[in-house]
Amino acid sequence: MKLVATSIRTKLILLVGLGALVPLGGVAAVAVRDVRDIRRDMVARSTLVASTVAEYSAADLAFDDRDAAEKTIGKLGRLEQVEGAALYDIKGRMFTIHRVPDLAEAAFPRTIAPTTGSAVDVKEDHIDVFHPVVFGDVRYGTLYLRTATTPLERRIRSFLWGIGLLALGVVGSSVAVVMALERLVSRRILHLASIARSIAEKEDYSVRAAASDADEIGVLGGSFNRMVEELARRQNDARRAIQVRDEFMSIASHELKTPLTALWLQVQGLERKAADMPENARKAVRAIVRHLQRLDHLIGNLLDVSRIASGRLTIERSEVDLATLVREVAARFDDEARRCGSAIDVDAAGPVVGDWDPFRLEQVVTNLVSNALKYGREKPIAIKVEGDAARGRLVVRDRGIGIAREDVERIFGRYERAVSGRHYAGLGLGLYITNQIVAAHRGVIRVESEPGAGSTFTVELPRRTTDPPVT
Amino acid sequence: MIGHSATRRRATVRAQRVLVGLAFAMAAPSPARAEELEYEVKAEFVERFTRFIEWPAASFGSPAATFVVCLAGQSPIAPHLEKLAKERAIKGRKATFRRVAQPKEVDGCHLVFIGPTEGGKLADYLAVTSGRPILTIGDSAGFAARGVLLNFYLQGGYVRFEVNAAETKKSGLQCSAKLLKLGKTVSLWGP
Repeated sequence: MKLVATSIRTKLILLVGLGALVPLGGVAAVAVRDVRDIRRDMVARSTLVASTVAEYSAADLAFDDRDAAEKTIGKLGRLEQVEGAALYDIKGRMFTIHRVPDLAEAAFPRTIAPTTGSAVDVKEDHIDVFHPVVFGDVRYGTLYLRTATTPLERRIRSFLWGIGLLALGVVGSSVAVVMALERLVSRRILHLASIARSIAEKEDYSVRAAASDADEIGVLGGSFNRMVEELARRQNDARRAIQVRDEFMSIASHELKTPLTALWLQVQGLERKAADMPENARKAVRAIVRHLQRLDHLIGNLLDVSRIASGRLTIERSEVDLATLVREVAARFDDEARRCGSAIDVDAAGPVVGDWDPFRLEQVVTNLVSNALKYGREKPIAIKVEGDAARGRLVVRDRGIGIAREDVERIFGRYERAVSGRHYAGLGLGLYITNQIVAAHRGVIRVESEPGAGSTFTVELPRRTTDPPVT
Repeated sequence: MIGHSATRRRATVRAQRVLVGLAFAMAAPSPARAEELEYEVKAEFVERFTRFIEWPAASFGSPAATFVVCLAGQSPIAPHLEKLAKERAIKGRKATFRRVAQPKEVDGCHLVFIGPTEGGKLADYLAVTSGRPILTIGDSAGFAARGVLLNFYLQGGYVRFEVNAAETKKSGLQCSAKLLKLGKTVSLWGP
């Protein structure tokens, strides 16, 4: 129903309005009935007066006593509404007349047929009553009575004024009720909503709503406050949990890094002596080196993430040629590419020099190329480096599994992967670190992807810190 | 009485209005004709009185009993009363006209018109009628004060009548208030 979609204020107005309609309808019905009754009453009174006067003028007409007749109908002068009265004899001619000074005699019928029955004729401003003058079954003439409806109209008007004032009172009190209800309900709910909004926007969990057990909104306020407290507590817990995790990560990655460094020294010593070893031992050393590189990479990522989390990711800028760097990294992936069956096509002819952190930039390229190999489904990979006056651009395109549209936003987040870790190894930190490094260079990273058709990652970096950041 | 004929004439004009059937007499009526018209009006009034007065049922011996109109003594109204009794029903009954010469003959009359000639014997007539449902009507000044129930007089050219309210009440006749208010009351209601 549409009513549900309207505001409480509108609902209140509608409900109170409907409520007011009932008494207003009643008042209107009473008014209509009373006005009708007042008119009917007036007609009845005129008829009664006419019949009484007619009764008493029978002898006057019978004995042709004009003086007495004048006296009889002259008594009508005491009645406020009577404008005039006249007696007509049995021949229909006017016998005697009584009228208020401002009513002309012409307003009276000149003759009234003696056959005229009792009749009432309600005109616009007066009522005409005709009544036969009869005594003992003998008709002596006709009485004509003219009654002004002005007092009637005045009565009706004052009555309608009263009714109007009453209706105004009903409407006024309805409006007052709506306003009071709005103050009591609607406004308080809106206040609650504004507090909720301010908590959501400013994360200020110290604000509280007015709470009481007095009514439902007070109870709602109480529940709302408990919810805010719980929210604050959970937020705090979550922050603490993240802090603990980040600390743990930082300690863990450092702790892992220390023996790894020692291990590297030992392995490098082994590598040097590898030429003198039998083939299977050499193979084992190569495997050790490969796995150690991988371990080094993973621990390095963990270290980077904990640096990023604690805001300790630093960029050390120097003059770097992105094209050379990309060629070197790609060359380093030759073995792996061959193993994966993906050819890497590098288009990095001209130097693209910028004021960048070479170590971090290498990480970016490494991450993108290793991702392309990982999700590339043994299809060729194209790497392109280009630049203009203000920025350098790196494009890495694969023809692999691609990324679902709903995952595109997510992949640059921490620990996020578009696909299950069960099929593709890794911690899900690569793109997060990449994105953070690019952002630290005031650059951007974009991805265009179609599931099943492959992904294209584009990194754009301003060449110098004075260049405007890439948007 | 200098003003008498003038008064008569005005009464005549008035009578013409009442008795439209006699309108042929409009043009300059002779004094004799005027008097005739006056008594025609009075006779008409006599009949109309009966419309506003109720006689007790005991006044009539049987449902078929006639309404007896009497004339005591002499009066120009005689032919008109006779005509009235002949032509009209009174109180829903056939009417008869009777002349009365002596008070004791009044017995059996429902209405007695006492002519001006009977002034001397009025007390005797009233001795018979007083307290009985017999409508006495006079046509002479002072008759009402002396005990006649209704008495004609002329005023401003109009035929008018006096009512002796006390005697009317005593008579047992039911006299409509509408009639009483028209008549000039000559005595207050008795105890």
